[in-house]
Amino acid sequence: MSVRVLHPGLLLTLQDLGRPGHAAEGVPVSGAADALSLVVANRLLGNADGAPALEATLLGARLAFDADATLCLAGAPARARLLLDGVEVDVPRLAPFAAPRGSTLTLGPASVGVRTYVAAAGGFAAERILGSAATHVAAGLGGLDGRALRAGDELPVERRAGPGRPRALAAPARAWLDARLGRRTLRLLPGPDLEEFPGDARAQLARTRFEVLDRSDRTGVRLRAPDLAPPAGGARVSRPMPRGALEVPGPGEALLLLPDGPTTGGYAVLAVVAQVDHPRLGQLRPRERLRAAWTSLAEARTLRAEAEARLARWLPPA
Amino acid sequence: MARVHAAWARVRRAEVVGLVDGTLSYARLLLAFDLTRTTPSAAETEVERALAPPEGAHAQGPGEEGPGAEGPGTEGPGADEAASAPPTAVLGTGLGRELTLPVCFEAPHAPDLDDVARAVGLAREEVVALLTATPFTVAFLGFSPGFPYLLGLPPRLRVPRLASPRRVVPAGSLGLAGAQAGLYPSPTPGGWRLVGATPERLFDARRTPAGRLAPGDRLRLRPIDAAAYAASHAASHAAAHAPSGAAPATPREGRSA
Repeated sequence: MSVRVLHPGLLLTLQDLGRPGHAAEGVPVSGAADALSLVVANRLLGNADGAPALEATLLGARLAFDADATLCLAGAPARARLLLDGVEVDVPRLAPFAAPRGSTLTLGPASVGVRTYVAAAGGFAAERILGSAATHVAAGLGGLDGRALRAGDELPVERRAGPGRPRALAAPARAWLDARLGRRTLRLLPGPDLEEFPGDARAQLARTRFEVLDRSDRTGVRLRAPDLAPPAGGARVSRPMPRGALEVPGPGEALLLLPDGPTTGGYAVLAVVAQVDHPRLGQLRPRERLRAAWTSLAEARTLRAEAEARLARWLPPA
Repeated sequence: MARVHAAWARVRRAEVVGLVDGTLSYARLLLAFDLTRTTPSAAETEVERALAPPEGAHAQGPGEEGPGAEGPGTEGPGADEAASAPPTAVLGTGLGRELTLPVCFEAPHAPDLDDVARAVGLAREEVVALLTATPFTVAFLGFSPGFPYLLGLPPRLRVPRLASPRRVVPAGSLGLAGAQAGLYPSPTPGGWRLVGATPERLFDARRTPAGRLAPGDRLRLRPIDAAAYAASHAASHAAAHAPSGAAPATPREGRSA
């Protein structure tokens, strides 16, 4: 069976958990900007965590099915309607549903967050480039011919793997996922260049009220950061950039690196977002306001371990 | 600098538990670990063991990065860069090939060449002559897939980055920023001054290795005119372009687990 793209919305790409291991060739990890939501959608369908799925951006998408499929939506909440034989019904988020042969799925604009994941039982079939189906549009890697999906594209769904049984998600698990998706405070670790920043950068960061700017994409989220200023001397020679780096390119500006972001760069890194909040970065919505709170490596590890344990309890891996 | 490559090779060979990625620059090596499979202290111990000098060898020198257990989002403090400018020493990785890339320094491929020439007080032709007389060395690949950071830029040609980065830099562009030079393999945003462009593909994920250039390679730039650029661009991109369309992609390496 295959899925046909009728409308790709703002940006529709195939994503999985990315291609770590190639940074020394300049290749970023890529993959789902909100990897937690991708994993949740896949686990609900009984897929492997990293099965390729569609990542829709802000404005939704429209898809048609030429054979019976089982789907699951996760990530940014958006109204989703399934049209079959002239009858349109709402379909759920965070629960598997059937998309019968001949049906059309219309995913509306995200009401919270940015990215909604559409996973299919079995996973979308895609060529692995450097070990991953993740699309990196700028470099032309992964997905379908290395590009964003467009109207008319046909995406085959894997059937051979024999997915596990679709599962349900308990109410507390849904509440927990939604709280993480809308979290207003990012937890940060001290960055490699923290000591070079002028004044008391620790206090300034904790005080700053960030605002997400429009010019944000899968390489990074641009933020207005009124209290922050870069170290004197401007950009320095390029150095490795950790995932989740918070760069300060200029006074009052900050940039959070996302999965398609550069592997090396020359702006000073004030802080690095703790892994527990990485999925949240992919859901930061233009004009949204945010705060930051310092954490320690020990606490960050505990937070991440607790989050993984909770998810495993509610939704064990397939 | 050759030492970051040597360090990376040793860490990789040692198959350190939980190691998922390594990012290199002139004098820094960032290691990413999956902290569900290891702990910072265990990773640090293993990395130190991998980097321990063989019996009788010198200990790690000053100005070199310490290893550190740095997961994504858990970067530890690293040693400072020795200087604000990249090292100019020639790499000693032993992998260096002698390569020549054609580069067009004519419009529209060199949008900042006039500004650079003015800024450094040279004629446009003199800047091109300096660039094409320079033996560059690839320090490392970073930024975007296959992007080579080049050493050897004549000090005379040091210019600051653009005040505001371009939204899209055309693929193949030769950029300058301070003491750094590099070639953009794919159209990404970028703030370096663009003084030329090569028509050749610099990264192709279907080749092994995917990058046209590798650390340690010595590179010379051969000037070509816009007509030669167009002919060469058509040839190198037609040859490598995979057929596209609605045909379903076939999995090459099977599904990831």
